Amino acid sequence: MRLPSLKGGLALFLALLLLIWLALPLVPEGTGLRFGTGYRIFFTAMTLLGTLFFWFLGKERIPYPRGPAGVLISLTAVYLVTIGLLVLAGVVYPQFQRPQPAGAAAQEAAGRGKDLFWSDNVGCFRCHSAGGRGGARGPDLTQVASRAGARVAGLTADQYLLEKVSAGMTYRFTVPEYAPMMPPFGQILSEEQIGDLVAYLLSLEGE
Amino acid sequence: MPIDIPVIGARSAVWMAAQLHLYFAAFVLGAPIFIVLCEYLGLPRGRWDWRVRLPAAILISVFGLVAVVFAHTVTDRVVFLMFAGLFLAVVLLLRSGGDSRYERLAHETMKVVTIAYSLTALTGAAFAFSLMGSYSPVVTHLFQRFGPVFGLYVALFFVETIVMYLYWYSWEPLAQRKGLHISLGVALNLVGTVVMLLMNAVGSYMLTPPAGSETATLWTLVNNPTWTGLNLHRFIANVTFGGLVVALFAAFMFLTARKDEDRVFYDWMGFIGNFIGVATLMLLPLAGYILAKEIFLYDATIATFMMADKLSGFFVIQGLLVSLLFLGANYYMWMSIRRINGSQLYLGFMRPTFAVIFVGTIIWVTPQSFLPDLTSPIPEGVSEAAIFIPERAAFIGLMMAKALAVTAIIMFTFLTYMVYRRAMAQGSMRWGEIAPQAQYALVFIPTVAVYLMGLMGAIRELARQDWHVYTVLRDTTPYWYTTPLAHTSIMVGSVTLVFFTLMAFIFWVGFNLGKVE
Repeated sequence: MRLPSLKGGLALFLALLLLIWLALPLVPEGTGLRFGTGYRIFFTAMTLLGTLFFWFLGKERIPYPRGPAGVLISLTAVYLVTIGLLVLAGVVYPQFQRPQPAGAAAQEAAGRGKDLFWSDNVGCFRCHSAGGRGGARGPDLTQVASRAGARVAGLTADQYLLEKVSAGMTYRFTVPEYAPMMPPFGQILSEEQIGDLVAYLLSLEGE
Repeated sequence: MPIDIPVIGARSAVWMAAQLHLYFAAFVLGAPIFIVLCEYLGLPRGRWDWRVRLPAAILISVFGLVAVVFAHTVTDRVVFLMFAGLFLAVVLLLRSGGDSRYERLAHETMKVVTIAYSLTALTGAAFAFSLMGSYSPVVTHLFQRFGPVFGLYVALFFVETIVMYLYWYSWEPLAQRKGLHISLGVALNLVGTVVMLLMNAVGSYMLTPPAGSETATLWTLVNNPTWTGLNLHRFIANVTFGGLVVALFAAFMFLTARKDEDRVFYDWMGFIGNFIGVATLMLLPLAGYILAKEIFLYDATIATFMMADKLSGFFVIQGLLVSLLFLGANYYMWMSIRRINGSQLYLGFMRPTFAVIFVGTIIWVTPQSFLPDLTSPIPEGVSEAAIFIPERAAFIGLMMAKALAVTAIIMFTFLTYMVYRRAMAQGSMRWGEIAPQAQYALVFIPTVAVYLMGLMGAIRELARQDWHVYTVLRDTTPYWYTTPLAHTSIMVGSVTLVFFTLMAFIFWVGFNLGKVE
């Protein structure tokens, strides 16, 4: 079988490039088939990959590497080029922004909540302990993130805590082993402050 | 978080250790499956047949039945039944052939496994220590939920180690009692598979904890919604991985061989390793689909996050990687066909086959849009038309077109194998005369496979979003966020580099260091 020459492959590659960059933009917009720049770049990359592949496919035999050093170098080269191109594909692909603000906000909220929890004027610590410190009139809150989600059917851990902190002892659920004496903090603190407190309570397990 | 790790951070450290451990674990679990198979194939014809095949058939039937009984949906049951039937058919139809090359292949691969086993344990320890130091709340949570599972895991790990050394060191002493030796190999695979199932329970629980997990029984936690899907996927993928690493080893040995007889053997060994890898690779898209469907049924928002939102770009790269695997495998197969006497008749099919695979690849990896997630705005100065697929061509970006493309790729890979069979029936193979570039294909394929495995592992972990255990235990560490594709690619590339360096060390220390001519 006669294998196509490099010239034939190059000619096909150039023809495809002309098709992608000159013919495709001429397709009337109304047809709903006009591919934008992003897709044309993508098709160009695939065409290049295809041309290289078919050119390599036409090679009957490449020479053996010379000696152990030649084997090592050639194997390493195949490996590094493969991995390098794969990593490059991942790096050049459009990236979403690392959602820093939300994460940082959660960390900041937990920090503010911590200040409130241990502050003298709010003083949650007088009745609750966390991380081995604090009072014992109310439940220990170190593991509250794990159990809060199971307190009231249909409420996630953060939803339950928001409602519970806001309503205090008037809430529909009270922990049976403890006397109901928690103030309704919804009347004392702002919504944002309660949110901060909940963020802190949810972060306790990770500390 | 309790303790951060300097320079690279706790998450990257745990990520690297866990992924390295999984690479080695996949190899030491997958390779023994076909080591035993090869040892059996090397036996004299008919002598041991039923003594080995019957217990294997019973084992597969039991595993198949258990999977069918505990599967979560009817579709899963049908597919598990199909897979069990397929494995059963292989065991029942396969006859030992008295080809001693299989015995040598099994023996040399087992030598690599024994060295890799130590590294599996070492990387496992590194993973456990980094996790305990930096993510102690997660460890506590998992131990509270899965205490007995971890206990059994440790016990079985000891048993597996003992059986593995018994199997390896009794190879020569039991040369005349092959039935007993192969039984040891079967036992090794059985224990290894159970060890894998135990850890799969913990891994799958972290993504899909059953409803009311706080009060759920241990069995409900173990048999969580994606356990069976993950088991099937990992079992097949381990065999694929084992086969491809054996092919890599054979390529390394082929290129460094000084004698023709060695080159003949390693050429054949590379062919067999690649064949096993590719034959099982063709089953993986279906197994992956089952796992994805289980995730979708559990919580459709995870599926959206994966396929349409932040992880959609990851799946474009995944499509590219799987396509490259099939391209590499077909390339190697056609290089094999070329050295069959009289194969010129068939070479005309080569380019059309690759044309179809290439078109399939383009369809598979064409994204619906170039937006990296659902909330990213269109960049300034870029038109909407530039990054969204045109309306009339939108079907190319949908699952239906992609599933058809994958099917075409698989079908043509199968056809390539049929051409190979036909050529072999009419001519004879000139072992040892394969073009050197085919050996580089055997390096390329495992490189892509290892990278793909790392990327898919990252996808499965990142699908938990900002949870350690989805909806149960929130990740409140500084590393709670989903890493972008570039970050993930660099991480996976780095881990792959470490893995290949260690594998090169294993090949060198096992087969070159101290070699007497």
